[in-house]
Amino acid sequence: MSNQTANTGSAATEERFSKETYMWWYENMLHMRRFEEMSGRVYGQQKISGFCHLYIGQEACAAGAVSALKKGDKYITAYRDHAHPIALGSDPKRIMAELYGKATGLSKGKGGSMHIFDVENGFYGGHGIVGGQIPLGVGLAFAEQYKGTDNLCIAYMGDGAARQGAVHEAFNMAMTMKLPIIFVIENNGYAMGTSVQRTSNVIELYKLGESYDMPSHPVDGMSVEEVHIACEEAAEHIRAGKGPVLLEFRTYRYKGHSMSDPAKYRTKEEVESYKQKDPVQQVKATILEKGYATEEELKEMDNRIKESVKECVKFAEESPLPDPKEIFTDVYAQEDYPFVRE
Amino acid sequence: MNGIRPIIEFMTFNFSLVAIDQIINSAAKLKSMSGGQVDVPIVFRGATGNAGQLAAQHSQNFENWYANTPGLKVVVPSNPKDAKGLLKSSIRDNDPVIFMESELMYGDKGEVPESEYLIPIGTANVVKEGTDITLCSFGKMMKVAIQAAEEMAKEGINVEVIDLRTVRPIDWATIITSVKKTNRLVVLEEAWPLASISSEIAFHVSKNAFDYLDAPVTRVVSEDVPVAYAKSLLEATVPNVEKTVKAIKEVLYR
Repeated sequence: MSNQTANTGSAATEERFSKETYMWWYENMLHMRRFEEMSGRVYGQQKISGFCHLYIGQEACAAGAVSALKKGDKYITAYRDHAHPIALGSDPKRIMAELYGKATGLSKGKGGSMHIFDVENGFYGGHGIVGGQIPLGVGLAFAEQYKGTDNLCIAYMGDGAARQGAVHEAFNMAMTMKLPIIFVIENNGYAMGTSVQRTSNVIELYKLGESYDMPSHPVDGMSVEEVHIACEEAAEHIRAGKGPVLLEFRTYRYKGHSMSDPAKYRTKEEVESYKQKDPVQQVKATILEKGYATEEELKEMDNRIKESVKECVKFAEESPLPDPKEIFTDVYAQEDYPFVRE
Repeated sequence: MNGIRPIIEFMTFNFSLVAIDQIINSAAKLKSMSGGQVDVPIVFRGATGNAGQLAAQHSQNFENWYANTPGLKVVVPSNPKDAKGLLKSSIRDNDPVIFMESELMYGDKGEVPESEYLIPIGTANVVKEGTDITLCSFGKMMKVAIQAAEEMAKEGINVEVIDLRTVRPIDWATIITSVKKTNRLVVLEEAWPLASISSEIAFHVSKNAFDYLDAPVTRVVSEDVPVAYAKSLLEATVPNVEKTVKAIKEVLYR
């Protein structure tokens, strides 16, 4: 595995991937982008409530992993969680319905934006406590090892979470037990509004893994090819029984931490400089250059996606709210649990 | 949530605070947040309460902390036979269970059937029937409760003793039935007073059996302070037979 942030868009890299892979990436990443643009829009219209953290700019981090890993692998992430399930094949209508808090949502309206789950498609949420999903990811990986499967877990966290105590306990335990897990730090530069430079002396986040002797690599998170290659190589290492790998995806979010963050802690120039490396545009450029599709065909695809996202909103808006009686379901597996009622 | 059934041992529940985020924010919430997509059949077991002169950080009771959280079940056995039957039920349960033991009971001996048996979670046990007053407790404090009842018997007072066994859920029916019979209630627990299991029981009984009470519900709990090391300070802080007898007499207006 490369120890350096790879040179994106090189001819050699592009040759590794087929037309189908490029088209899959483009369609999925564009789908994430349009879905999140719509999420932001309906949030602005106060049609959805609560917290809402958009993935715009980070699409390659999810798409490159899904294309590299295999069926049965387990995904877990924090609250910036609308995009992974799209790439994993979840019904986007049910993701949108979850944002709306509707009974048809993936989590029946009980989770909302931060707690999307789709276990059938390998997506284990959707967690709201910074770094809290990482010990759970280690548990998912432990179960795979215990059951003797060939599957692994990929556990995502942000750069802020990389400083959380339980994350380091998780690194240590996973390495000691050689658990099948890829730890991903999606380093978008800011823990809410606090830059990486202000949270620790160690700003090369992949180096955090080295203190556990964990193979740890920085990856250009704006390049879906590089994300795919890094995940593929990590998975090969892990499936050979050699234990976890830490990947630092260097990425960027175009929007604020959440919808309530005006992101005044960074300059317009900084945001623009990252947009020059936009992950969706990079894939588009390669597709056009290789002649995998025409500008017109891609435009049609975009229109199709936009329409489907509108359908998601329609579905969510027309879906019923959960019945108030539902507050007493899904709390316990025991069906007749005696809740304290006044 | 990934198809296995782990049993986590905390050396003591004092150390569970380091993992309380995983218990409260993850184990207790996953089923609900996922709209029922995952079950969390996990047991967290270990010792609770003071175990001699171990000072402030190793002498705490968190039964009420965990019992406050929907999504968890909290089991606190008081003797070897119950411990086996309740632990088996806890392990087989499909919800997360907090199973609280005591270092001071690990050396206890008692009859334990070799055969397979289960004691259901959420059922209290009337360990001694009585007519004059109900004394309700759980876990290690049950020894104190039984001794206090024996002391009272010497004075001709017939105490009904209830072992809750489980503090989430609480077997309200057994408590209420007993109070309707004895008309008086003392709750004994090792935790601090504010928002404890005894507070909850007192509230529940006052709401649901008020007309049956001949005296205010009272309780014996630890003093509202960190547990100090010195023997004299420890004894002054935690419940004992003497304090329990005093509370029983108070409720009987003796």
